[in-house]
Parts: sequence; C-alpha cells; structure tokens
Amino acid sequence: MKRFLYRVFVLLIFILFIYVYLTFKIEMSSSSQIQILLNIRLPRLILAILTGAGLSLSGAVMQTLFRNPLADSYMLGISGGALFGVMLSKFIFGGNLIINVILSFVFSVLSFFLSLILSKSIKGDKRFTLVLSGLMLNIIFSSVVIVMSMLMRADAKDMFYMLMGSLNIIILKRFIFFYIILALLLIFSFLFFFIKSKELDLLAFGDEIAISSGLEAKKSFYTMMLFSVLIVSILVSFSGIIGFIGVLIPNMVRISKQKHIKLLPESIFYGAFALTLSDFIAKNSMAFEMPVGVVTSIVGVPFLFIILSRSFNAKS
Amino acid sequence: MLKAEALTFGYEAKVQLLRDVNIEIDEPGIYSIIGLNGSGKSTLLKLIAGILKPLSGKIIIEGKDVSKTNIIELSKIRSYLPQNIYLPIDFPVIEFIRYGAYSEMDILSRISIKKENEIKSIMEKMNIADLKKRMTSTLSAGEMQRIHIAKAILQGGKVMLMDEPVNNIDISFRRRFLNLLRDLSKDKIVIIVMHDLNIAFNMSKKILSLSNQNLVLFGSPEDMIIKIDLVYNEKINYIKNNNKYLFIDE
Repeated sequence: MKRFLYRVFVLLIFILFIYVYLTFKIEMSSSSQIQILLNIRLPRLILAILTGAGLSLSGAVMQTLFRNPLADSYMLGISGGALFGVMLSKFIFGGNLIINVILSFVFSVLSFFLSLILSKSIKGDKRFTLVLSGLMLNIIFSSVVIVMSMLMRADAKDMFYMLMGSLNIIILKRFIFFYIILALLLIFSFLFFFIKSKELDLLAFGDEIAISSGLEAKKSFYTMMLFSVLIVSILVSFSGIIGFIGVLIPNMVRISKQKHIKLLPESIFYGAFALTLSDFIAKNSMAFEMPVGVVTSIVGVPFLFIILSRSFNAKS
Repeated sequence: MLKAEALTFGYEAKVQLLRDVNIEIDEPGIYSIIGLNGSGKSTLLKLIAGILKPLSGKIIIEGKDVSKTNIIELSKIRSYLPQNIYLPIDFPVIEFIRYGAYSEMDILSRISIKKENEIKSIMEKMNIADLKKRMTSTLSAGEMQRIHIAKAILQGGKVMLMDEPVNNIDISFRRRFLNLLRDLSKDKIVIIVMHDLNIAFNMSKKILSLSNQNLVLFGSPEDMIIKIDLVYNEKINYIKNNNKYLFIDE
C-alpha cells in the first residue's frame, strides 16, 4: 500500500511537471502562444519522454547483457557510430530524415561489432576492456563528426547540440507519418523487452545458467542487442548523443528492483522523467539554450560515482 | 537412457581435450566422473548438458540428440549444476530458484502454485528455508551452492548433471545431502563430477575416469579400483572393508 501510494505520488509529480514544461511562460489566452505549445513544445516533450525512456531502457538491457554496470549506448560506442551515420547522411545526402535514421542504424550496428572485436583483443577484465574500446570508438567518431561538420561549415552551436545532445528539433510537416512510425517502432521495442524480461533475468545469471535453464543464450543476446541498437540509432538521429541517462537511471532503479519485469518499466519511467527535467533546465536556466547532455552530465556524474562505488564495493 | 558416441572436443581443433569418449548408461543411479585437474571432467559435463558443442560425435538423452533438440525441450529432460556458483548480479534468492522452472513460466515470470509448493519443500530439504527473503549477494559460498542445487532439483529431468555438488557444503549437512542424492538417483541418472573418491567409490553405480592422456575408463567401482593408479598416475592408497572403500591421503 505504501509503495502504491509512493508510485501514485511520483506519477502525479511527473504529470504536474509535464504541465509546467508545456505551459512555462506561455499566455494561455493568446492563440499564437497556444500554437507554440502544440507545435513546438508538445513534439519536444514527446521526444524528451521517448528519448529518456529509450536511453534508460537500452542502458538497463546492455548492463544485463554485458553483466557490466557501466554499459550503455554511450559507453559501448554505439551512439558515436550512430551520430557518425547521421553526419554521413547529412554530408552526402543532404540530411534526408529517412536516410539519417537508416545510416544511423547501419553505423551503430557496425560500431557495436567493432567495439566487441576491439574489446576481445585488449587483455584484461572484460567489464573494463569493453567500456574502454567503446569510449575509444566514441572519441574517434566524435572527432570525425567535428571534422565533417567543419567541412560543411556548420554552425558551432549545432555541432555542440549533436555531440552533447539536444532535444531542440524542428518538426517537418511532410515527415509526420515517418515520425509516427518511428514513435510506434520505439514503443514496440519497449514492449518487446518487457515480454523478454524473463530471458533478461536468465542472461543476467550468466550463459551457463541461462542455457541449462532452457534459453538459447547467444541468439537471445544478439536479438536483444539488435533491438537496443535500433532504439539508440533512432534516438541519436533526432537528439544527438546524450550521455549518463542510460547508466545512471537503471543503476539507481537496480538498487531496489532486480527482476527485469519491474526494473524495465521503472527505468523507462524515471528515464523519461529525468530527461524531461534535464531538458527543462537546459532550456530555461540560462539566457541561451544549453545542450541537454551538459545538464545530464553535470547532474549525472556525481550520482553515478556514488552508485558505482556502491555496486563495485558490493562485488569485491 | 543416456548415450555418448565417439565424443570429441577441444577448445582449439588441434588440441583435443576429449577424444572418442563413449558412454552408455541405461539405468538410474549415481555415476561419478573422476580424474586429475584439467582432464576435462567439467567439459564433459557441459557437453552432456548441451552448454558446449562437441567437435564430433553425439550425445543422446532419452532418445534425443542433445545438439539437435530444442533447448526448452532439453531443459525438461536434464538439469545442470554449474561449478561456478558466483552470480554476476544481485538477485532475490527465491526468485533465482524459481528460474529452475523457466520452461513453465508465463510472460510475467510467474509459475503455478504447484511449483511454488515444490520450491518450498525443496528449500526445506536443502535446509535453506530461512534464506527465502535474502539477496544472493549476502550468502556464504555454501549457502549459494545449496541454492544452485535447489534450482537444479526444481528443474528436475531424468538426467541431473552436477559439477562438484558437495563443494563448500559443511560436514553436518553433507550427509543429509548425500541421502537426498541417493533418493533422487532412484529414478534419475545423476552424473556428478567428484574429487572426493570416498563419495565416488561408495555411492556410484559406475565411475568414469578421465586422464590427461585421453584415456577414458568406465566401469563399476570394483572394476575401477584396480585401475585407480592409472587414472591419477600415482599410487592411491585405500582400505577396503565390507565392500566400502576408504581412501587415505598419507
């Protein structure tokens, strides 16, 4: 009962916050301001919720698949690859939205396999070599992205928005159908993981236990990785690289929820909440708009430090 | 009921750890695998469990080829106790044991009341009923070992594969556990990897020995005791009394 009340309480706060997010500094009597609310704020809110939820969920899944509390799309180099794909699409094809998403997906899959191969050739604890090779890939991809955007004479601000993440998007009316398809694809992927949560539990125990209990561990691993990469590549093609949400939120939830059937929905909820909140701060705390990744990093790193020192201590 | 035919395995194709292993087990009972460290005991058990795939040859359990059987089907005919009992994550004890019934779980990872009651009685038998509300990270090695065993027993199947099941288990519980194994072996084939020769020779119907020269022997304790020095490449001392064996280290 207490837990139920707590949930209702948090949910109410989130709904209240959504109201503030949408109506902040808006005159509800002016119809042009209401147009801003509907055409700019609402799509942005939806993007924030889906991005926060997706990053947090894919982070939770990758941490389980790699049995590594540090794993997420950023640490594994997947989002770097995705951003490179988006940039390549802009460079060669002028940034058609559909090609953006496709190339983002192709390159995030490639960079995932690349970081797997790299991590296998570095000696040492797999938990660390994987993150190390992922971070190396991210640095390389980021550098290439910077060179490419300079070649394209892009605005420095836009470059930062991509590298540190921003939810400041312009909705193009002619792509509305495509947006809806992508949103549905994301929601479908969330449901997919929800259905697979018992498989995730088994994979968390290790391959031997998973196989002996009746799970095709390798197949399950790659299917889930594919869906995680799909989520990340869609998100990155809209909002760039947003770090720390994917590591921070699932690790926080994991303190009280270990079974994936509970861990995943809560990660989705708090991920959505945290990113919407960060976006609100990024947008309104200064005279100019900051990349949202700056906020998630500044708030996230100290939290992450506390949580990781906890979880690594528990293991040693 | 269990058959291994011309089983060959190596982590690299050139270095074969197991070569041409043939086993045939027709009746329930306890069967031990003995041998030196690194002779491939655990590997053989993993091959039988279907966790590793052989380079050549095949394993047949209950008429089903292990490498070709659907893994859910396989989980119903054999269970496996790993040697490494460490879990990479923290998990509620009771939920972990519940995964012994993975093949019967619904989407919300729930199982039938009948199975829940079965868990309760297994936990009592394994003397871990009081660990019900604990998390795995708070357990001692012996407690962890028992939880793994409980999960394997819940999974059941006609063939149970156990890698050093008495590891970490204290003397006072050990006897009860060995009786439990005897009970289980009345209608199941229980294959255990065992370093303790006293248990292996006094409880097993048959013993399989592996040595580092790819020499595989399989026979009753009476047959195997004659060849025991060959298995370990040195003189093994023991006393025989009333068909019981007592192995002596010094």
